[in-house]
Amino acid sequence: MLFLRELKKVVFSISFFVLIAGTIAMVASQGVLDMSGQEKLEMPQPGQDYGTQAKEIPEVIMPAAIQVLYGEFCTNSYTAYPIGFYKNVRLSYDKRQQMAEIISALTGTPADELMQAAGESTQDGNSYTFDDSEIDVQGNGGYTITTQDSMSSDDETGFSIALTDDISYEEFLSYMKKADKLIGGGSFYSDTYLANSFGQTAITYEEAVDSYNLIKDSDHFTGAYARLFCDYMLIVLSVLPVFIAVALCLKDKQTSMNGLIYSRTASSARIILTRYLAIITAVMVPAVILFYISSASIWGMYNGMKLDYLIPLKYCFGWILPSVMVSTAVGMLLTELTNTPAAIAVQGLWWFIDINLGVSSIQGGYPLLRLAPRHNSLQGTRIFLDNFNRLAANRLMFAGFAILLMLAAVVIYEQKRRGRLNGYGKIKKLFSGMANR
Amino acid sequence: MDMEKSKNSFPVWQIARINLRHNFVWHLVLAIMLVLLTPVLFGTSDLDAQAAAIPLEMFVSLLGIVLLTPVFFPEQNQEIEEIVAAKYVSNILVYTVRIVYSVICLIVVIVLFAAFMQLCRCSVSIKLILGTIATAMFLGSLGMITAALSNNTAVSYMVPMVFFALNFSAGSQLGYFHLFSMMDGEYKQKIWLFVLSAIMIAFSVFVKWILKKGNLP
Repeated sequence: MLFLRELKKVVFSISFFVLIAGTIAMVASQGVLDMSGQEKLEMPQPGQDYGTQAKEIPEVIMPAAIQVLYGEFCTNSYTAYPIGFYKNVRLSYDKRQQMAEIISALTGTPADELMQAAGESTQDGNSYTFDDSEIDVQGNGGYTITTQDSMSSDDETGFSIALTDDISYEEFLSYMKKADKLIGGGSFYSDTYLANSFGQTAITYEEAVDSYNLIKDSDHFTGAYARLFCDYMLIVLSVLPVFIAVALCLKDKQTSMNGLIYSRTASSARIILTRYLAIITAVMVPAVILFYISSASIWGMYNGMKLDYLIPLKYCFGWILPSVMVSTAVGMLLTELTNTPAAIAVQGLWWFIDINLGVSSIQGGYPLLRLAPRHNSLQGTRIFLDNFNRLAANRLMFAGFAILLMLAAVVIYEQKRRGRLNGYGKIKKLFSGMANR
Repeated sequence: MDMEKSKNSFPVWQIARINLRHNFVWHLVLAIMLVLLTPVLFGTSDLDAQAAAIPLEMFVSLLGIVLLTPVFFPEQNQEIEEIVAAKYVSNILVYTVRIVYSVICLIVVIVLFAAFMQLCRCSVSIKLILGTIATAMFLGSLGMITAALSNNTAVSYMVPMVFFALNFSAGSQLGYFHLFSMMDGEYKQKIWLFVLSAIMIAFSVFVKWILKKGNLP
């Protein structure tokens, strides 16, 4: 049977072995293969520290944001993550003046004075240090800025500023948008980061109890751990299947098997889709096994509680599968099209950018175009439930995209069998002709 | 007699010229595209040493995979290997020439990019440049040794990429193999990476030599 032959080829390939080794190394190094080392989710007790969460509370966000903005303005050094990567932005003189006008509108301090203060502090070589504000860069790539509830900056930082009393939150937001635009996007003042950066507030006892009840009643505990497992699994499984697809397709070329396969009676759709299914099966079976090993490690922690034993299957096929499908489809399509490993560069670059962009929604949020939706937390069931439709749309869209890519791969393969398309033959000839001159 | 003379005088630069044209040019184009993409993805101006290490270690170091990993690829095609095997010029000489020009190109591209960052008021020290070269060479040599052992193009790229991805999550747990140490102000790992990359490059050529001689079962 063709499917079993293809499956055997995949399972006994070196690329499959590396995929398994890489996946196990990833989940084991993050402590999610054996979840018993993770925190046990228990009913909160009064008087505990329940952590913080981002909330859009104007009284908290506004003073903290203006404090940090003024500090960055004075040193003319703005931190931004325009597409997920750290960027340090310095503004030109004109843009600094525009920024001074924004701060002036928010604080009532004349722009000239602000420019003068900024000029002096820059000349003095002052650096802005967060005293009652602190940027905490986390290991998973995320960060938070924690601030005390203060309407003005501490004098010890060397920068002192306060908001005017008559500024509304809507006005404040519009100025923040302008400031973000001047910086070039992705700054602390952007829609994406404003509440996360400055709206961190302590979680109350009632909120902690609500969150626990959601994890107990909606997630049946296993769901919370499953999302964390998916987060790490997708970091590797959204890129590694492309290598298996490329290796398998290139093997036909290297062993000169194409001619033999082309002359068979099996249809192109059958050959290509069977190979595709074989790769997906080979990747997903170990993923399900690893997921069950991970999930089973917490069953003992919640004796007597209602658990969902089918969670690994639901999350594997609902969350992980579409990314595996896309990665494999990109590999097969581009390898059939070009007869080169170009798919590795394409998928590798997409993966690299996507993973870094994902840092902005690392606690959930699931943007529609995210290849690997992140949820790097055991908490956040409310975020998951509130954004479930968007996550479902994302996953369906990627699954559909993968199917489209595979249909294109079938068409290309059929054309090659008919001798009408030989990879990128014409382009190759053109460039090799140029090289030979 | 003539053949012996020709063998001794076979110009190394001719091997380099032919390989540069037919085997290296696309990899170089991809490397340059990656370098040009770096300022779009990352901040490359007004960075202190640790911040400047971010684009250099996290992205520019990938040039090692692009430029060094494909050194053995042409002979992975069975037909080419059969033709090359019949030639009087040793494969080892051809591999050495390819390795030398690949490493030179890698260094030149990294140094040029570092100079660009310096022009953009970044604090890019010699240590940072050498560290980036060591990281890139380590990733590339990992691909080279995989290529020598597996004779498989996809796997040769896969192993360094998996190791690179592992560095995102495992980070400093990898000890001397931590690729992103300069971002934390640590440089001693780079010495290990450089030494290991030199050993792996030499070993991968040795493996190819052994395999050609047929000394392995």
